[in-house]
Amino acid sequence: MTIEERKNLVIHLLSMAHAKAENEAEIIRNESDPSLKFIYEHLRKYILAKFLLSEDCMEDQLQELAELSLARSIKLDPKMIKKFDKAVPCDNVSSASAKKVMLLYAIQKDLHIHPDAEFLISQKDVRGLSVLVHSLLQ
Amino acid sequence: MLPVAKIREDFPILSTKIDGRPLIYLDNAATMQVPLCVLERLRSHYLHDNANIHRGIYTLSERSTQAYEDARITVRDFLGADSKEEIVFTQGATDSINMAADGLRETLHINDMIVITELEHHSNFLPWQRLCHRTGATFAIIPCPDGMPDMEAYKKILSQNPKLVAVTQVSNLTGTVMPLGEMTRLAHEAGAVIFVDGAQGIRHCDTHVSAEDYDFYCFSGHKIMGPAGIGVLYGKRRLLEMLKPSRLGGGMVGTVTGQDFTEAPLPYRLEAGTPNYPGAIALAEAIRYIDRLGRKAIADYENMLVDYAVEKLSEVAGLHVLGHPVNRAGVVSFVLDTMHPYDAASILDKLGVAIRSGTHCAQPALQRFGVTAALRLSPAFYNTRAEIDEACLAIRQTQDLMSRWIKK
Amino acid sequence: MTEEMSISQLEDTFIEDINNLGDWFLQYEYLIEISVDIPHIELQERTHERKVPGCQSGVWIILKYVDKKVRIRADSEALIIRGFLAMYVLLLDNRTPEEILSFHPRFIEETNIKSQISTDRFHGLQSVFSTIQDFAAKCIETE
Repeated sequence: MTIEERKNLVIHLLSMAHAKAENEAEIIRNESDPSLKFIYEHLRKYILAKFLLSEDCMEDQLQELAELSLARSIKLDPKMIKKFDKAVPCDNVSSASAKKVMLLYAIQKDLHIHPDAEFLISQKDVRGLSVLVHSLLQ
Repeated sequence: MLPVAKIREDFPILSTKIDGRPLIYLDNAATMQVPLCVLERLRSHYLHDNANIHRGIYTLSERSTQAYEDARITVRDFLGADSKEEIVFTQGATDSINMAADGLRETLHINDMIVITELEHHSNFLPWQRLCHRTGATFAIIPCPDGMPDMEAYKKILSQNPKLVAVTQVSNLTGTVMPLGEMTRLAHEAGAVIFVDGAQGIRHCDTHVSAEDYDFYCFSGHKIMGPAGIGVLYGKRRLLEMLKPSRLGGGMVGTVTGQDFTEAPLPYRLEAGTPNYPGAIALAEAIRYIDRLGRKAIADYENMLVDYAVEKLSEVAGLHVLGHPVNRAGVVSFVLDTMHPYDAASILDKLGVAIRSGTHCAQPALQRFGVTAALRLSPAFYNTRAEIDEACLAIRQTQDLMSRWIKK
Repeated sequence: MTEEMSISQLEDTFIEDINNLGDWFLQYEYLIEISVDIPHIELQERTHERKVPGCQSGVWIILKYVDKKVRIRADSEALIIRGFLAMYVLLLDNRTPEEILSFHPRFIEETNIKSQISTDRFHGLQSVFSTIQDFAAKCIETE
């Protein structure tokens, strides 16, 4: 395999993993009157997919999830992220907080919602986030 | 019925999470987890009683010595031995077997024979193999097709009057509970001594070495919730007297002069140096824990669990259980059609399931099944049916993942 | 094109790939993908001398010295190990003995692989690399 072929393989693998997240976002967007339970279920799957964590990870705290996700990787090459997710601005993602912020930004973008920024950032767990998203999708 | 949920609280390590996922520990045949009371006993020993044993007449040494000798009595009662002089503390089953093999060297000659079975763990295989190499004695191996000893072959070999038969109580690969009653009787009729390796069996069988007339028996503490580094060699007194000590030094002597020495009485002549006395003390605590739960209750529950595991695993497509023993205890080994055990265990580890892959120190046994490696699952009384279900689900997920990855 | 890069520069591209993937699932898939092109060592070629000791799954290496270059074939029964072997082959095959001897692998230290693989596997990989370096040293001696 050439270097170029390997790079394309990496992009392909990453985009397949992130396609799962996009799929969950689409499910939430397309549901006409989503219940809180529905949103929680799919938002969890979206977040786990976004963080490349497996589906039966049981953690609910966002900071913890970000740390778990970071624990699996040392650094993300900004050039690579731009290739498969052009809308996400990216500096050196080196801390769990930055990762969490990136997630919240992505949720806004993927679910087409516009929450109050401070209120959004103050959410600590998936449950709280689901309540917020639910209220915005009514 | 065992109160499993309550029992699990005695083992905090079972609440460990791997990547946000609860650990499912199913490698108890390799080692068991240690309950809080055993840890507490070790801690309290070091906090209050620690001093070298049999050495000093001061209080701490007395306490330590007493605790160590009490542990010996606890083990004697646990094994159903006749006297505490027949209980030798060692570093583990492997150490016990090596000690016995070395100790018997001068009694074995070129026309003698030692018999083992195909299912033996390397620890109950190699010391005897080497003993035969060194003495010129014949090394005979009883075949065990599909995990069961060929009793006709055994009888045939016994007709050649071997000196010793070394056999496992329970196979660490196939879970076979060996028909020791019959094997012991036949060995004795042929004039052979029987050495029983109880490394796995100690967890599952209600052993009474005297009543069952075993000549030697050994086990490792860490397989029944003791710490690693402690084990036991039991032998009938007259046979232990025959063993030449392979380790010499302090603690095993009577008098020492420039040219010679006399040996201490049993069991001390076989316990040179400072023994792992904290280990022995902790092992005794583990035995008391087992007795509190009840050996029968433990055995009933674990038998149910391993039978359940065999049933559930057999339902997984492309999975083949190794060996179909009439009586099974503790372990079930298997292979998967589409992947090497090593790959499977690597992925299962990431899914939070701790099972063992490899040769399980039983290469000859694996060769019988035509494989070089296998996966092994071994539940204990602190595991649950739900965990077995999770493990089987994880195996299916692993198969799916692998088939997705290699389909291209 | 890759022959113009030093082994270390080529190793950087692997380190980048593995770090970008980050997640073990993706890393395993990547390793398995790159192993597809690596030819198998057939059963009859798997002799005792070619077996690398200290590996839980069987690992075999065939080393040749042709036109002043070291040629490497490697295989294993386990797919994930084949993946690691593929990396070694892509890095070290068709290189001079001097290049191989002056190379110090960094991909285990500079990625999260170290925390993902067990000590046993780590030693197994070291063993593979030592076998290749020992062969390279012998090639220079016989020159």
